[in-house]
Amino acid sequence: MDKPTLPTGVRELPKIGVVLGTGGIKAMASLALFDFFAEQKIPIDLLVGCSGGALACAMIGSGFTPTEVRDMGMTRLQKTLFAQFDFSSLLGIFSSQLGNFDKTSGILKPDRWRNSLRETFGDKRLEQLRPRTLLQTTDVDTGEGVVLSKGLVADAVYASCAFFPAFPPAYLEGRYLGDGIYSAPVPVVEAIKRKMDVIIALDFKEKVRTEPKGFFSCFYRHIDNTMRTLTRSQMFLSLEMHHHEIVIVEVDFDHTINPWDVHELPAIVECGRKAIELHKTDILHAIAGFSKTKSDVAQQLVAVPENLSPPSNAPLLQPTEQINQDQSATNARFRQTVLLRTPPVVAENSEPNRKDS
Amino acid sequence: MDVITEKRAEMIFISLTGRIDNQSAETLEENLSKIIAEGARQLIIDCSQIEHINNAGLRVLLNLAKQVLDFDGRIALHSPSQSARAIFDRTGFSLVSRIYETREEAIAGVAGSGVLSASRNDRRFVTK
Repeated sequence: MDKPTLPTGVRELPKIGVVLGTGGIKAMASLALFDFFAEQKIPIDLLVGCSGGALACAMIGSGFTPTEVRDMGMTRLQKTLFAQFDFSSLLGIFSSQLGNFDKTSGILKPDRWRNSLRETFGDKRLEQLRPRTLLQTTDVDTGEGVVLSKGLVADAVYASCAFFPAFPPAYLEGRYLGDGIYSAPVPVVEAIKRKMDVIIALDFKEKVRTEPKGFFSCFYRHIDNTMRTLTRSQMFLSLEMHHHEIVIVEVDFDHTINPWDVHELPAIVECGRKAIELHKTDILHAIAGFSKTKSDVAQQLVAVPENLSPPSNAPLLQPTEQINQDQSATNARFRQTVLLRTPPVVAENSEPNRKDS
Repeated sequence: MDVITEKRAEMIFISLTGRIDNQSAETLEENLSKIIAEGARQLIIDCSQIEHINNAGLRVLLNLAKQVLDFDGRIALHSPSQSARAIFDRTGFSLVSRIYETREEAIAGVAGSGVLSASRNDRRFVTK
């Protein structure tokens, strides 16, 4: 198999989108992907997250490092956030005379969880996050997918994680918005709509073979199966729609992990690291396969005075100039021109670098 | 990526090997379109030697299936490698195209009757 190597010289990088699917705390396995991108100095253009993936995207988009995200998860994700029952709603499930359950209800009171999110994100707004961050939610009334791109991060993350019937939906933009799992568990289509060239999608799965016991276990298994089918259908649609490459990374877990199982975080991140290790060749192939040498830009660079050349200690990827606006408008695939001083990935053998496509 | 084709009676046996990415997908599409243009209507595709197939490669297979079906032909994929199986599953490709476990099952699926009636190699060539 070819060893993927991003060749040196003047390159055009693809627009890279990272999509994190639903999965509660298991979505923290994505931290391994962000570590990988940081190590390879590959810039990310867009983050799209759903539910647990929304939380991870929002934290990275807010500027926290993967290590900080993990540490904050260890300290802030406590079982007490998910242990405050709303008894009126709970009883309302069984009888409307005992309690009340409607579309705005949830079995759990959301106050502690929402406060924790506000402490984490403060007044930060989605439109301020970098990379640009989009969060998948579902309109409770229509079942329609609603992608949030503006508003308070804390509210948007809550809405994306508000899993029916555990948490009540959030009232945002004139709609009741709940967990994105019900409309796009792995929202790849959104990244395609935003014209990403290479899309890395992480799908977190529990491959539990034991028979479910009890109402909630059976209910969750049903939701999980439905979600799998929905994801596969949408992935198939994505294949038809997308112009370049989607790398789907499945992160498998062999046992059930609850949102409050913070003691599992190190194991979750390790699980993510193993999954990324398995797919890093595909990821780098996808990026290298897109990159093309622009001879015209190369010629322009030849004329650049010596003192404008990047210093030897400059970052590996250096934006040197935008492709001219006209070309950029007509060909969204080319985002920027970058100068690679050395290959981000060193081939493990003496095979020549991959030729430009 | 290599495409190995073999003709037996009315069936064309195609074996895909290696890595099918954006670059090789173009070559694959050209080769497969040529096979259809030459009149092939019953295609059996061996996926056991696929190292990796990306969405460009999957699109080629999907388009191939559409072309074959337009001519009232039949197509069957079989014996996917572990990597190909995982990709077919996670992309939903296996929702729209049945993936047979063995070559014999694929032949039976295409033949409809479940009886293999193909003769020995009539023609065999390798395209790289």
